[in-house]
Amino acid sequence: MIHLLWVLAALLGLPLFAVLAGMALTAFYGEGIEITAVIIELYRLASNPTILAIPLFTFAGVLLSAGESPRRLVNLFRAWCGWLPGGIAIVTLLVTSFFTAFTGASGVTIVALGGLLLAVLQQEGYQERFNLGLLTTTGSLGLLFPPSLPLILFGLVAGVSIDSLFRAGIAPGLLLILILAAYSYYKAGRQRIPRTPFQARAAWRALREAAWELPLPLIIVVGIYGGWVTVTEAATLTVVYVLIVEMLILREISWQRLLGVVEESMTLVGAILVILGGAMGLTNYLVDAEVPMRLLDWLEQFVTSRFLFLLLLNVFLLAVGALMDIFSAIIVIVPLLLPVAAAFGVEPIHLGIIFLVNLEIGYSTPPVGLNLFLASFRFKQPIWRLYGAALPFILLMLVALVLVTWWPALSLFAVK
Amino acid sequence: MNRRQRPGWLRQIARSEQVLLVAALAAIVLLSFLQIILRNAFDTAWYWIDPFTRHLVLVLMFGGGARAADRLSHLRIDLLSPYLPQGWRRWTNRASWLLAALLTLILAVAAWSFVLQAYVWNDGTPLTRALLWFIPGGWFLMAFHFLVAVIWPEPEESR
Repeated sequence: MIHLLWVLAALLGLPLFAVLAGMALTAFYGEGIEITAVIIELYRLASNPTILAIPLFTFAGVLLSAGESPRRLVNLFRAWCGWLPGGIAIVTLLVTSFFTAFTGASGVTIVALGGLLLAVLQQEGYQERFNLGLLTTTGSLGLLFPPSLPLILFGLVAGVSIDSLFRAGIAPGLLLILILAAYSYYKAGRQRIPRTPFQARAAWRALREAAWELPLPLIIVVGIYGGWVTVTEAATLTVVYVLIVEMLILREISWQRLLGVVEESMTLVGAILVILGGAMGLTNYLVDAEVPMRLLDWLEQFVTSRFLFLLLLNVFLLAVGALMDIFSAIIVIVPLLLPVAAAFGVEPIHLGIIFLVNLEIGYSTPPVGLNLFLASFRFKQPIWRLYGAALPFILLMLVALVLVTWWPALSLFAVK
Repeated sequence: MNRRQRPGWLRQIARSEQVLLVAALAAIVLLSFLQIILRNAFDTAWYWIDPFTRHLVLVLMFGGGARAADRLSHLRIDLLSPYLPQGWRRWTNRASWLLAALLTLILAVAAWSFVLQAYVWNDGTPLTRALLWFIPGGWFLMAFHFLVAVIWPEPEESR
């Protein structure tokens, strides 16, 4: 009964960390356990060696988006890929993915790149409905690429190797881009969008302009998989690199602006970590009370096959993605889902990728997907208009979801 | 009275939290970078850096949490209140902030006794033990900001 009151408080706007901590406090108190246990669980965060990656990558992503990097990256991809049929739409897919991987789908992509890309798409002659749908759904594209914050958070919560998750996400992430690129190619043909000829001089100039941004993915991917650095060290090197480039070489961020970037990024980090801290106590209680096992026993009465489990899992996660933000969803749902999924033979890394693809789609799913609100705000459009515009993209992403779900090798081949 | 008319000392507290965040993040970046150089160039490491920087994340967690409480930007599910009439919403929001303040206050007290126990058991190093005080301190700050939100609501709420 008391837990239902907490759920009601959550629906009425009590911050999620307070809901989780409140549930943990009442559960511990009810069992006669000292409430200090909630703090002891929270303190375990400080013993996790990869915890540093969260603030460092978040800071680097926000710092990158505060300067002129978004404009330079758009110019670069436009100059090199704009000649393709559907080129500018494909450029949009590539730039937003690059950016979301660094900013962790915190909403920064639509805010930082949306206006710029919308103007470019309109200039090329794409229909408005297509542009709005594309920019709304691509606001979370790139979640599966390193060093995406949701991947790191999933690894932390599920106790799965983060670099394995980084590897596993690459092929499904590319699949999503490929499917949407094919659709963009088709739409460009239908809308008779003229192709921009490739200009070697402009391409070279754009490459030179973006020369400082381009090594970033290499630092992370080559650094980690070459065995040179750990995930945390890669995060440190990324911050140092972005700081040197933005503050000393390009001088695009003033010291005053830097303070704002620190506050903005660390406010997000604080908001995520207090939820994680609040959830750790509750998770510990739920595991002790064998709640996941009871959930599994109950589920096994109706769900008899792995196929059916995966189907229900996707329906459930799509609903979660449309109602909750990705960070809260990972922290609250993953600990409950992990043992149940394992019982149905779903590997934790595969579960992670299924989870994130669902939430990536959920970001743009009506009624309350976060991208819809951000796009409505950024493009000054009524939200119902974005529901329709995003629909074809959501359906295509569902095709990718089916492949990711029932073809585990797509995610796992890079890990094994 | 609303948040735009808040007294100057509240802005000073916000400023102190910003400074704290900058200092903690700068220390993490500098020390972690130094550790990478020590490991790779000199084949050595300072053993205290790793636990210390991990404990500094607690400072970011609670400093950032306090800023989020001040800016009322903590993540919320909040599915029902957008459908409530304006007058009701004002009260459900205030009730939420009040409940959040109460809970964070309880957590602050629990954290306080946790830190005292850490001193009794001599857990960690003196440096990491000192950083533990940011746990009760952070919860207290968040409770304070939520109480301020109850007293000085958002401008649109006070209409």
